[in-house]
Amino acid sequence: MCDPMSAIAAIGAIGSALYSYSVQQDVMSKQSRANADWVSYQRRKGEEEWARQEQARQRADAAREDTLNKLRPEAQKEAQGKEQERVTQDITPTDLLDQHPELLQDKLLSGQKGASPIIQQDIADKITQASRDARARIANLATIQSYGGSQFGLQNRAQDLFNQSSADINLEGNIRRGSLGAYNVEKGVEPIRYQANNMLGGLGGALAGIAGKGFGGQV
Amino acid sequence: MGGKSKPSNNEMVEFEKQQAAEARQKEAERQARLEQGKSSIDAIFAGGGFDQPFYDKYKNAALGYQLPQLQDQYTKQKEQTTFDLARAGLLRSTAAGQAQADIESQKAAQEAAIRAGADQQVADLRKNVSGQQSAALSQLYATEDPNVAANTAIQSVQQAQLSTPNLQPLGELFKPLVIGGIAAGGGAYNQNVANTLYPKRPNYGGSYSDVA
Repeated sequence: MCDPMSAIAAIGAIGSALYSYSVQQDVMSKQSRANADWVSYQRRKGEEEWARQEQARQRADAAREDTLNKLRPEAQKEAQGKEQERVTQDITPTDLLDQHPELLQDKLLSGQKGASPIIQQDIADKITQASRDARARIANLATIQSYGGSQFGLQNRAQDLFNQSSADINLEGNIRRGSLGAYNVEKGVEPIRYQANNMLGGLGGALAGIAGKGFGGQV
Repeated sequence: MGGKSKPSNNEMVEFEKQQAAEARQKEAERQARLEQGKSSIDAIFAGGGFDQPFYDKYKNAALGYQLPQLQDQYTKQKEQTTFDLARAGLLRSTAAGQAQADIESQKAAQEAAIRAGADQQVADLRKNVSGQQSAALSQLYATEDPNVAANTAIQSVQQAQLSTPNLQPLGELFKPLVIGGIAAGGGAYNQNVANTLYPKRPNYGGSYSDVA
């Protein structure tokens, strides 16, 4: 016959082991679900961040492309031509005789006003030619200005375009950096950790020891 | 050990591997966009769009603005010298030739300076276009990398500003000749030449015409 205490201890030890196994299974199951949740969270956050980054990048790229298109040679040549026209109109005096022959009397010196028509015509021809020459030089001046420093000259235009797109790119870059910082915090989130805390485990071990001693004494 | 311990079940490891693969793929796409963007920029700025006529137009305008002023002053100086020489009775003298040579020499030097200035301005224009290319590339990098400030683009253009061409009407380009001085000097010179060609006979007090 076996010692009844040992039998009870053995039964207790078996029960305790079964309980421990059950607790372990439960913890593993919970940990697995927590891990799956974490993966799902990280995947979702990663996709959201990627979408945000991509949208911001596309907005910056659109600003960049817009500037680049306006800086294409054909666009710059067209802009230069328009600016040249504008500057020419703006800086050419309005009283040049080649365009306004009616202003001859205003141009004549006081003593010339009573001169014969032949002399007046000769003077008019000379002033008209001088006006034409001046007009040609003014047109050249307008051309020079339209390449460089006039209001909408190529140089100022390019600078303005780069300023605009740089502002947009910087804004989007700032948004991206901020968002990336927040995402890094999200990436640092760790899954819940479950730990098996079997209070009966120690008792089971003690019972198993008693049962072992009882059965060992009979042998 | 330092650092955070990472969850390590299979699903999580697979997820992290997948993330690494996606990151590699995105980086490849980013590099492709950079290469494509750079090719596009190079094609715009270095592909012949800004051709010789574009630069010639600028140079011709600079020359067309300044050379006529030089020509005007040259013509006036020549007229003035002609009048002065005529008044001094030296129009057909060696001194007149010297005066004309001086005017031509000054004109050539001034014209060369104007042409060199125009060439310099075209060089600045080329630098400006090149600066635009650098700025466009900087913007491309800033677009693909949020840590690169796009301000470098603006700086690239600012560094390639066109030097301000001389837009003021040209001042006095020709040194006025003192024809009175030429008259005196020219007279002495002519006398010297005449003496050499037709030396006076010691015992003959006649004029050159007598000799001839």
